[in-house]
Amino acid sequence: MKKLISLLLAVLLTAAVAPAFAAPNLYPAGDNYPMDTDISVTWWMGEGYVPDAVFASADDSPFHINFQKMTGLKVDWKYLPAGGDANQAFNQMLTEDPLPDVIFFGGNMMSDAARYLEEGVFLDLTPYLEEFAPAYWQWIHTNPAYNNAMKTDAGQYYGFGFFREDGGWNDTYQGPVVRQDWLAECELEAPVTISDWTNVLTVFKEKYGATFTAPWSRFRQEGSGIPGAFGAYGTSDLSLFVNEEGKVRLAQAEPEWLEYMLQLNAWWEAGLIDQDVLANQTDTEAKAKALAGSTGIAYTSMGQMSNWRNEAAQAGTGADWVGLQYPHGDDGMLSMVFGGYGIGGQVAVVSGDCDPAKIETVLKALDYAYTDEGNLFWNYGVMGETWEYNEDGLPVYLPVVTEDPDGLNNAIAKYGGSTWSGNCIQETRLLYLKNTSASIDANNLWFYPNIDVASKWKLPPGITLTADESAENDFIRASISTIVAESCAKLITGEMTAADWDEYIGQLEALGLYKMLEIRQAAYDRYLTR
Amino acid sequence: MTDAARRAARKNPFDAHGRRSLGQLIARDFRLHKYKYLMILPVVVFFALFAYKPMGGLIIAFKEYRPRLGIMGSKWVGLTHFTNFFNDIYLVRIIRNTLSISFLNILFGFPAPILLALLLNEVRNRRFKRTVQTITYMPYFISLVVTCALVKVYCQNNGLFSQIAVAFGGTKQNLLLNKNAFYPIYVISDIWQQIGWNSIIYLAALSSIDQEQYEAARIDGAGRLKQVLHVTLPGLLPTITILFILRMGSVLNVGFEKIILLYSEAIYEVADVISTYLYRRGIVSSNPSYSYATAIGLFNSVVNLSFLLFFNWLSKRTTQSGLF
Repeated sequence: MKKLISLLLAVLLTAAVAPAFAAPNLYPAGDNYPMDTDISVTWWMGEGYVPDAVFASADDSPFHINFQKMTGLKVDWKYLPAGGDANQAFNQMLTEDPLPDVIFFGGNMMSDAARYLEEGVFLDLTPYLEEFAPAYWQWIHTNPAYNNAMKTDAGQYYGFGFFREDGGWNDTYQGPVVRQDWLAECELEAPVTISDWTNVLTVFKEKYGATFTAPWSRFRQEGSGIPGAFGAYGTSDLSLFVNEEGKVRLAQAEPEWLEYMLQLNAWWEAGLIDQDVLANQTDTEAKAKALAGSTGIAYTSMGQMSNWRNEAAQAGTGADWVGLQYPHGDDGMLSMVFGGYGIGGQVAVVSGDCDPAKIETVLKALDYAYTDEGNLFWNYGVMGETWEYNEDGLPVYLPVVTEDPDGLNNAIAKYGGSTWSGNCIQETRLLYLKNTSASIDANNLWFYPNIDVASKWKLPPGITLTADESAENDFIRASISTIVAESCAKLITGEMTAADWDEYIGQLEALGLYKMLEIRQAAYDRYLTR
Repeated sequence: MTDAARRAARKNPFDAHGRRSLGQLIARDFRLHKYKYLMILPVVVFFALFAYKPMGGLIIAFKEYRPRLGIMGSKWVGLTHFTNFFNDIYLVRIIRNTLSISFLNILFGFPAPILLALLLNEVRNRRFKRTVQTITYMPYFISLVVTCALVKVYCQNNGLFSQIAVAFGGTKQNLLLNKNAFYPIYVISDIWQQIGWNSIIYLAALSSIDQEQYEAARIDGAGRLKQVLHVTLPGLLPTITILFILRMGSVLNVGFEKIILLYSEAIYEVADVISTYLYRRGIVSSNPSYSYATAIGLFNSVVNLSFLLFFNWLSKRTTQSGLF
């Protein structure tokens, strides 16, 4: 009960606090932009602000045209065509000679930064950053975590990162959802503990023939699912976490994970989990289940929940999907929720092939995003064209965005660069403008009450491995992740039981579990002493 | 050399043993068949560029390939990738699965189009025959992604097959999570998709069988079945043999696209094959190991080649016909 009250209090508090936006105190752009220059560069991007599919090329895309207008830099944009595989495109780009001047991507760019610096893919920005990118320099020094994430163990700065203003609100973008209308119909409270969940699932099963469902690609993700209620830290994808003593551990080698799996198995046996989940259920398939009324509690993202709500409203099914608090253990346990530090895994770097005469201009163009004016541009587009200040002095979109025939989400991404990821700071207000209020409420519910456990378990982004460590870690990781994912599936279906646990742990050890943890621990320790 | 000797040498293109050297042979042949050589030139260029030149890239199986350093610049690691592969705990499983799927597919999938062709050959109503042919080869043109999406929907917990099972007193289940159901699903859907298309070549071969042979057989009193057994089948045998040898040359090449679209961790134990494993390890991971994948690919090709050579040898011994 105490837990409940504190929970309620937290929700109430945050509801009151949330809309007050602390506008980040950014470096003024002044009169420095647009720069008066003839310099032109090639710029490769593998994700984030890749031109929207509705445009034939970047030359038609408003954001990419305006970026050149605002900064003065001329850019030849190169990017992956819609539907391509970003990792492959990135590796293929690396074989080009010369490399593009600027590269923006996630993948292993941050974790392998030391190796890329050594190979000349990245330019060491340490000598230039403070002088040519003062806004970015100021920004990363507002938070030691930002500063640490953006350099190597040797203290070399290599890129411009992606940050979320609110320090992780949107990193917790997925969680449980429930049909409010069914809860009301059955006169049930929103379930809080795992026992409550079993109870509600059973009632929904008896009354509506409904089960728990999820897109597996989301539920299985590192740090995703509902392991927190059991004191566990992962589901199917190999998940590393930092425990209370600061030690790096494998979530799927801890006994708490077994408990979690056994509970899922109990639900599976009782027919409370949708079997199709394990057959790599996609977002589309899960949505179909939600629309068909064959699920009452599910796990998905806030964006997907918006879609479920919209389509249910169109179809008139009366399904009222709302966010549901992450389940707690019956003893109140909640070790973690899906989340992050508000630092993305993506980074924009200047390549080693960039002409030294261009470096200053390029860095200034990259720095623009972290100035007060540039931040607004990256988030909302050009003032007066796509947005205006309202009477409270907050940016609001103009009809060109809100009435775009391709829908609000696409329209926002046409004019701004921070919607998905970019070398910029994503404003939380953008996400508030972008999402429905039910989704925002859901996200608030997943994040604010659990803010303490949303990211502290997670290895911070920007930890770098040495070349040798990287090769060995990759090899062990690949073998272990297969066995972990497989055992997860088998434990859920009951093909594997608690009796097989010791054998499973033995296999992990034989595959080099300790070696992998040792490598990651060393890298984490080095990160801490940066 | 005198003029006479030179003339003699030109006239006598044989060496001391009375044989021509290869160069001489080709030169002579080229003079005789200039235009044929010209015609085959594009094919030779194609193979040189797209089949032989890329083979040079196999060298990265012995290196630690880094895209930026390039094929030549990457570090040599010798046989490390091969030793790693042979020590891989999944080695036995993926080879076993690959062979199982492949052999089952050959066992049931290879005779199916032959059977269809034989049956169609016996149909006298041309319109009916055409209709059947069209219907059976239609699925071949459906994209594999769509086919697999259909299979997934039919195999769902509430899908068609599950409901049929329930109607007959079975239990509801997602068939794609059932280890025992994967091979049948794979093989049957493969037959469904390929049978019509693959039967075309046999129908073509059938039409080239001399009608007089059937006449002779009928005069000897052979019924329809006997005609099939003693005329049609022997007539088809060379085609069957060649297609069979070619098929054996790709024993380890199980269509991975289909498996990737259908499998999940719950059935890795039976469904994970060499190519899917290679794909996960070498291509889609955020830290792809191209060298490791190449090493596996090279191993794959060597095994395929040995199968091809073995069955070619076997076929030559038993039926006197082979590829080369």
